[in-house]
Amino acid sequence: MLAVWRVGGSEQRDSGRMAELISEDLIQDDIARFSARYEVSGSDAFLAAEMDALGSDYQANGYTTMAQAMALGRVLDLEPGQRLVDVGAGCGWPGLHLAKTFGCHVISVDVVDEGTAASRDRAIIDGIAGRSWSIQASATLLPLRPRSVDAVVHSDVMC
Amino acid sequence: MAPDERRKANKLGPTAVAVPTSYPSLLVTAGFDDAVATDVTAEYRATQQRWIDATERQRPGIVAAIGEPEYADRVLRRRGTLDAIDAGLLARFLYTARR
Repeated sequence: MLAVWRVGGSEQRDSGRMAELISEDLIQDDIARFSARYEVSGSDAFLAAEMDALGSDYQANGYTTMAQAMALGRVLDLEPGQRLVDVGAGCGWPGLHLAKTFGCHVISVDVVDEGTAASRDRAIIDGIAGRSWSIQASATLLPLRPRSVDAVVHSDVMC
Repeated sequence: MAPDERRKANKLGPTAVAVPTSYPSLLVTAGFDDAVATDVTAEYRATQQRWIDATERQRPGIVAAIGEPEYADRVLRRRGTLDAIDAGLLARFLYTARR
């Protein structure tokens, strides 16, 4: 089962422009931009803004709210023992929260090193380090065996 | 979408989100079926407005972290995104699918 929060107007964009958008140079620019963002997104002011906007405090800056994250967990019917993959997890939102709330395992995947490091640290704080893994990888080359997970979330991220 | 509208959507949409084709077709290619799309654009707009309000409330701390020029750019971008949502150039969907 997979649930995706898809944001943007890409369906209306032409394929030539999209090919340009996902060029390797741009992806590297995005990684650099997110690295810089994650370096400051844990500050008190950013976390306070995130709490007001999303209801979360996972250094997120997208659009998946707490209510939507909980809805994802219910749609995916997450249960203890299941494996959830959060593709493009950033610093762990919403995958870590879903694991904490629904008792499942979570594999947080992101291409940005600062994000996976923050996700690992947050899993310890949330008390779920024993059932949480943070992997630095691209969504196009996930280091996972076929059929090795039960659910996937993917929200507000590069593809 | 007219070329100038497309340029505006590209500029104001999430820069880290890009796919070379439609999302439903990607799901099919990946082996998922029974995809259901739910339009959550209204929540998207509300969340963007909350981000703007919250960012302005936290202005001193955020400016201290990233500087005034970057702060101004971020607020300007979020306001532009809000305008693009209102103009129908940007939308948000929840897709659920099984395989």
